[in-house]
Amino acid sequence: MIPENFIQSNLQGISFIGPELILTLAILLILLVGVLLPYWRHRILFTILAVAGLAGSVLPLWKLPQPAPDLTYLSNLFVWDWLTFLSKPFFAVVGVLTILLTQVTGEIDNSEYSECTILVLAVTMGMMLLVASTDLLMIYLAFETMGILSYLLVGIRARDERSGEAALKYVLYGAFTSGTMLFGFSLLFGLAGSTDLLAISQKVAFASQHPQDRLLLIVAILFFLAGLLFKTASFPFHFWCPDVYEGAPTPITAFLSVGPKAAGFVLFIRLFYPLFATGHDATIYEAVSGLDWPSILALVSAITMTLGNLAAIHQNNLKRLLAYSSIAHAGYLLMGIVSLSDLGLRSVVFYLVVYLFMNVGAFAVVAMVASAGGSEEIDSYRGLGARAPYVCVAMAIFLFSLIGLPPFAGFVGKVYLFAAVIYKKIYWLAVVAALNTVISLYYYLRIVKAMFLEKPTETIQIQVPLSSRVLLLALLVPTLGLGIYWQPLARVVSGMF
Amino acid sequence: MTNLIDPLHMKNMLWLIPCLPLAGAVINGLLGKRLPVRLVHFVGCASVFLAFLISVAGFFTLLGIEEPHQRFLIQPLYQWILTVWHQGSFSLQVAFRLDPLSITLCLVVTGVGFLIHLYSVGYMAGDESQARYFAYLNLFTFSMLLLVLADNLLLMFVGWEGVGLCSYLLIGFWFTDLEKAQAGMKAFIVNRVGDFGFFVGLMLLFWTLFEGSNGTITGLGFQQLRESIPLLNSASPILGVGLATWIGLLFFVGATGKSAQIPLYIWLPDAMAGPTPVSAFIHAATMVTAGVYMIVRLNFLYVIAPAAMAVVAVVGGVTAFYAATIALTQNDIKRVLAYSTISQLGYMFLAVGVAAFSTGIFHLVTHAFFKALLFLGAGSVIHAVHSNDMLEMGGLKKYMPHTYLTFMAAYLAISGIPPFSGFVSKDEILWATFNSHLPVAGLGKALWALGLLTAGLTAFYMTRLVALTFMGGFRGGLEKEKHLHESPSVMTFPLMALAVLSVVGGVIGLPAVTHLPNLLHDFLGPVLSSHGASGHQAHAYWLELLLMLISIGVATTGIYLGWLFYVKRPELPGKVAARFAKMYQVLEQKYYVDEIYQALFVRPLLKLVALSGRFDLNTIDGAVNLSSRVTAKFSFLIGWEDLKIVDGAVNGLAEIFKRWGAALRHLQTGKIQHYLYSVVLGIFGLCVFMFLF
Amino acid sequence: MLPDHLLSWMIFFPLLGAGLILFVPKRYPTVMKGIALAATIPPLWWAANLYVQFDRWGTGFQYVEKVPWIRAFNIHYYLGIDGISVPMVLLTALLSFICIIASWNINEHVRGYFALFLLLDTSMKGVFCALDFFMFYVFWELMLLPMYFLIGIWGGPRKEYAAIKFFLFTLVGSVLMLVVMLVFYFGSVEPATGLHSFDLTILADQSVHQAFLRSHTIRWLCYLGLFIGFAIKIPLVPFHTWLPDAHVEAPTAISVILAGILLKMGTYGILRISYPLLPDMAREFALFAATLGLISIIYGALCAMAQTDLKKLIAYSSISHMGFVMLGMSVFSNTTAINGAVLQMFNHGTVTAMLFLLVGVIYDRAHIRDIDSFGGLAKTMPVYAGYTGLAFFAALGLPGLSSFISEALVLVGSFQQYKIITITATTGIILTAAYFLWTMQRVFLGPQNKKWADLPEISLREAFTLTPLALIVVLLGFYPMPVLDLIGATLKHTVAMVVG
Repeated sequence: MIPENFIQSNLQGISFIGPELILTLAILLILLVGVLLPYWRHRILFTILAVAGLAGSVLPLWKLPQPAPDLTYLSNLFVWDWLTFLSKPFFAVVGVLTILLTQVTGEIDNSEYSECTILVLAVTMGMMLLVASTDLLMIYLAFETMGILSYLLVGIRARDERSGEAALKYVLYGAFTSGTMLFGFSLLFGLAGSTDLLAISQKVAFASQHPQDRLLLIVAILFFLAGLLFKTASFPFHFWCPDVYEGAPTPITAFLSVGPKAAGFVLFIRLFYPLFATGHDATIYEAVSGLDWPSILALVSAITMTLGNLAAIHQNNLKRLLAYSSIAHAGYLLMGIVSLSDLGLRSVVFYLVVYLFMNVGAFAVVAMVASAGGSEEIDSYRGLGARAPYVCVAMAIFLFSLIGLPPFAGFVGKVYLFAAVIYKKIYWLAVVAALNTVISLYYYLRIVKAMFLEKPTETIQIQVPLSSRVLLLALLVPTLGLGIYWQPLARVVSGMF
Repeated sequence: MTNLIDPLHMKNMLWLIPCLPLAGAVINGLLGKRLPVRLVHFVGCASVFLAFLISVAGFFTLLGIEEPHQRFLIQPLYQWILTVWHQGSFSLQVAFRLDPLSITLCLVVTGVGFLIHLYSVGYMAGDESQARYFAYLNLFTFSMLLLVLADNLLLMFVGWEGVGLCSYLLIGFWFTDLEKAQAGMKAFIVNRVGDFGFFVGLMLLFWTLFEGSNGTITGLGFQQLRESIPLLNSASPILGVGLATWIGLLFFVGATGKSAQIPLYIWLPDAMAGPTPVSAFIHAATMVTAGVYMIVRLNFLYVIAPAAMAVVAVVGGVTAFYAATIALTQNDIKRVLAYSTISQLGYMFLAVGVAAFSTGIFHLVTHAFFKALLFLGAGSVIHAVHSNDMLEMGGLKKYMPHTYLTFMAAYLAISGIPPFSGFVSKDEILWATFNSHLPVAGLGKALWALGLLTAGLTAFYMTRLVALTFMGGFRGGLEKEKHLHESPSVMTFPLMALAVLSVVGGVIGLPAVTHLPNLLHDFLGPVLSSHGASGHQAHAYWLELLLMLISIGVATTGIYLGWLFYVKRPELPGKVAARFAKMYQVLEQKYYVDEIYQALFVRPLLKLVALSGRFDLNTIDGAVNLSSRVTAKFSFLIGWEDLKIVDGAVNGLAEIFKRWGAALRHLQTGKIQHYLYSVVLGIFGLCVFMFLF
Repeated sequence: MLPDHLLSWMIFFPLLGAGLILFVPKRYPTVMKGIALAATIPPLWWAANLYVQFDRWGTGFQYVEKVPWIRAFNIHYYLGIDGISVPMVLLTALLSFICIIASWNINEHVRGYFALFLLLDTSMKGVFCALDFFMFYVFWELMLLPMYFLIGIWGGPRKEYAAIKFFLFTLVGSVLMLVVMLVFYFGSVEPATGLHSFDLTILADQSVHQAFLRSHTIRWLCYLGLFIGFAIKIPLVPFHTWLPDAHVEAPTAISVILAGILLKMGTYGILRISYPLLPDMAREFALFAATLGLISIIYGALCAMAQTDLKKLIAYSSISHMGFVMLGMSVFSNTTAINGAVLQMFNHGTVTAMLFLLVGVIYDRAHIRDIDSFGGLAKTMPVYAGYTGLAFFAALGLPGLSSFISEALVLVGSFQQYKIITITATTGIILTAAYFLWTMQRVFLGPQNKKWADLPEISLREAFTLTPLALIVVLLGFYPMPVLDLIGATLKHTVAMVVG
């Protein structure tokens, strides 16, 4: 009886992991093509295959039943809720953009191109698995899939010393933190005797009443935080970020700054909300009594954004600058987590979506300028506005959006985050974030200033290929459009929580 | 008298009086450069002449009204300012008021003004920017008429500052001379100091009445002010001084600015930088009398503020004397006349200060005649000699007979020789002062004595002026002497007209001694408060006559001494000057008041200005820049935090590890270890936070 | 012949022009200028019509347009004007038109300049018409972007410093406003729908404020946040140091816009947002605000006197003049002062626009602005001197010219409530006279400086930009009712609301 049901439900469950399966197929196909055509000079085939795989991966989603918070499958390993439903296309978009960016910039040699696409697809698959997981073991597996493969991505340029060094740092740092997180998992498992989050959460609520167990929980939370703050590049586990971002190939940096970071935040929501927060019905949560993790996170958020912004001021390398900026943005995003409300969670998701476009956009411009003969140093942006107006206007828009100025999407995202903390009356954090916006203005404007206000050192027009322009346009449209009319996205995120 | 003009028609024409000169100013100002110069002259003069004709018509219209208290016409033009709130409103109209007081001033302004315009045609001939000149002059006439005809205080203030502006423009008319430009600026700014008093007085007056009347007073119209002025008595005093006194004093501050009284007289002597007809018109006949006019206009306020009146009288008397002493030693012909103007204005304030308002106006009128004449005569002289310095003149009698003759008429008038107009009006002031009831006992008598002494000084310095200019031989050198000539008739005609007025002007205000009606006093009666009708006690007939004789005696003495010093024994002045060298120098340097003001106000202000500029640049902006630098510095540290601060700490830790033994040393292979330590540190830090919370 | 949705047309028409300019080939700069000019004429015409048709006696908002924009946040596209907006809209339309003409000699990056200028135009009009707090904020911030580039690209030697300083300063104010805006959003519930609201007309209703928004501390902090935001824009001392730098470096037309319109947004914001939303705090802050106004008047005048750069002098004079606005707005015992303040906003807009245009004229010719290096220019350029004289005398509050009425109203009105402050402020008019006349003397009077003896007289185009402003200055000096009439009813309502 039982096995039959088990098989039955597993067979049904397979359809829920359709995207991951399709991605796996695509990976295999690319591998095969890569082996058959080792000297393939035209990377376009890999790109087409990868993009098709990613695009195809989201198709099954619409065939599936309506997501629901308690719809679990494959022996409660995964959940099929709105967060899962929407995260998968999000990661697919991240993957597609990364592939396209890799294609147009040519920063990665043909020899490494097929591996690169495979890795991007694989990391994407890991992220997709991660967001759906509701089991500690599965979470760890997916987390490591995403992690280890992204270490490889960072070091993809085997002959590039910087790339290699960055990868090594990433690996060691990542191993350390994920090990810590795993230890946290084991503590929880010891406490609850289960790896299922739902089951654990009931035990946690119970255990938090007892002082000795509470201590254990605190340690577990701290160890979780280590892993998550590492993935999201937040204080105090952000040190890897600038080195890795600078060392990695730019498209990969763009990918890391959005994909794994978003996955980290989704994991925050996945782990902390069922486990350590209660009261979903009232749209406001409360931390499990005795565990004041939101206050710590609020502090971490404030420090992270301040640190990131201040550190960014003196950077002359654009990738490094954007790395610090992404640390600051992690700080902003944490505001949504600490506000312990549906609005907060919505704001995180909303911000991640707009952050995807503007941040990838900014990195895309860096990559395009570098591939068009410039460098990543701010000096080479002097007077670029006159030499490559289209790219520079796009860059300016991305940067203004990152600052959070209307009418760009970043502004709306910030309004969401500010609204979340103000809703919960954490005014001091709102004010800190507001002042951080001002600080951030300074270094983003340094780039704008270099591009438009300063005289060019050369006068030759930079020719940006049409494909790059189209890619930029694809990123500009949502960056601008969501700033002016974001009602559709607002409806989507408000349906999620 | 029958009505020549229907009062209703006259009422509707009132706006033409100021607006005709305004039109002249606009035409000459905007198109003047393209118009033929004759047309410019025509526009300039005709506009004022027409205004004069209308004023004359207005005068007779007023006379035509039988009941003296009905002798006023008000033409409301349009709503000017209106703000409404729940408990009240502030509403002002642009309205012109023709009553005996304003028509008197109108006649003087347009009448004397026309003559001076005419004179200017000759005086300014050949100047390249005559259109500008006539535009300014017309604009001035407009402003002055606006001041005079305004029916409320704020509109009056428009004219009040308007004349200040024109004064600025005309003093600095020859602006390429920096000193002249500076004199204009000084005039404007000093006037503004006075205007400050005027404006604060205006605000205090309005709000006191507003609150006293529970919000029913909504404007500053003179009729309304006059009726509601008793409310001031019920307002609680500020610093123990009644509101009426405060307000009276504040307005008087305004008057001292415009009418060049102590302490704000300093601009007037410098104002002589302007073309001479301007000095005649603005700085003798009209603008400077605005302060007197204003106080007379507000007589209803002053009569309930005896303390303020006393201040006015004292300041007037002291100024009269003080300016006369300075005039004794000046060598610039226009400067002598300028100080004499200040002195004569002092007389007027003395008059209004002792509540002899009509007498003040009387002296204002006669002074307008003879002082305009003096200035125009001086202009005529300067026109011939091309110098202001009396030491370079002399003996002009024979070269400029018409100028000389007319000048003598004015000279006798100002010196107080009967029956010239100046004698009549000045003597009436002295008599009123002698008879006054000032709050301090004996003050009236003291001021009378001061006034008398001033009369003697006036006679002396005027004699000196005439002697140095017209008597003796020419001292300007042969070359100049060849070119000496009488001025053209367009200049001498106004001189003659004014000479006639200076001689006979006194008839409009004959003293009681003559047993003839005092026309001006009766005419002005309705606008003045009953309290002001003093000075006509029949029982004092002999006393008045006696005092009159004394004053004639003093004047004659002054003239004699002047004649003795400057005609008979020209070596005497030098001796006296040498004998009283210190005093002479003080007088010649005008009591060093300009220097004192410079040290007391101007230099500290400039210091404050420099200080503010530096403060703004260094401190406020410096603070802004400093905060950005601190942020930058801080960010610089943080930007290197993984290398310096954290690594430093980590390295420090590593150092400790190192010392623990060689076994650990192999861990120190690269930066990555530091990062890993940072993870440890991070977790440790989080733990600390968690347990602290 | 007015279109429906008049306000929307007026706001976004320049933006259409900006869009069109982007498609003009680079070799036709004159076409771009022509389009820019054409894009400002209809709004001017509409604004004039608005002025004529506006119902003077209505206390509510007119020409209202309201459609939902973002339902998730209950944000509306909500436009409307009252007596305070109309003069500002009119001023904006007029100055935009004039500034396009004044920018005719821009020859570098013509496309960018005019497109950004028109974007600026749109955002300014949007600020003055928005009735939804969120929309107001969006327009408010939107203005920063074009302004940054207009100063930063077409500015003077220290343009980069000035541009970023302007941006940073204003952004500090705006982010504080953003926080306050969200506090109000969550602190109020629209009674009809039960939703939170950004609708300024609803937020002004004190009964929709929730319990925590009634707490004194929160209200006090909110008011402070808004006040700092607006004070930076006005700018009040000590938040003013961005202004002299921005003015000095900005190109002429941008200085005109900056001083003529942007500064008014600060005071407009206080009237539109601070007072209606927090009337009790407005009363509590009144003395403080009046004092800051006074300090700005005196300190601005003193600093102006210390300047040797003509543009910097006028910049400081703006600080001084805007102090009058703040002083007048802090008086609630009568409406005279606040009427004077709003009138002063308009008058300062025209007068200071003239001043900056005039500085531009001389700078275009001599390429310096150092006051002391001129002298005797009245001989060289008499017509120019005439215009400058008019503008200077208007600026120093000469009766008969527009600023006098507004400053007099402010002073007369404030006197009822703040005796000492008002009397001290009145001394400001002496200082103002002193520095303007001193400047006049140093630049125009005295012996003709041979170095500048052959500077050409003001051109027809320049005269054309100045003349309408000069006419307004003179007209409103003798007959201010056209504006007083417009704002009276609204301000009576505002004061009544603040007094409660």
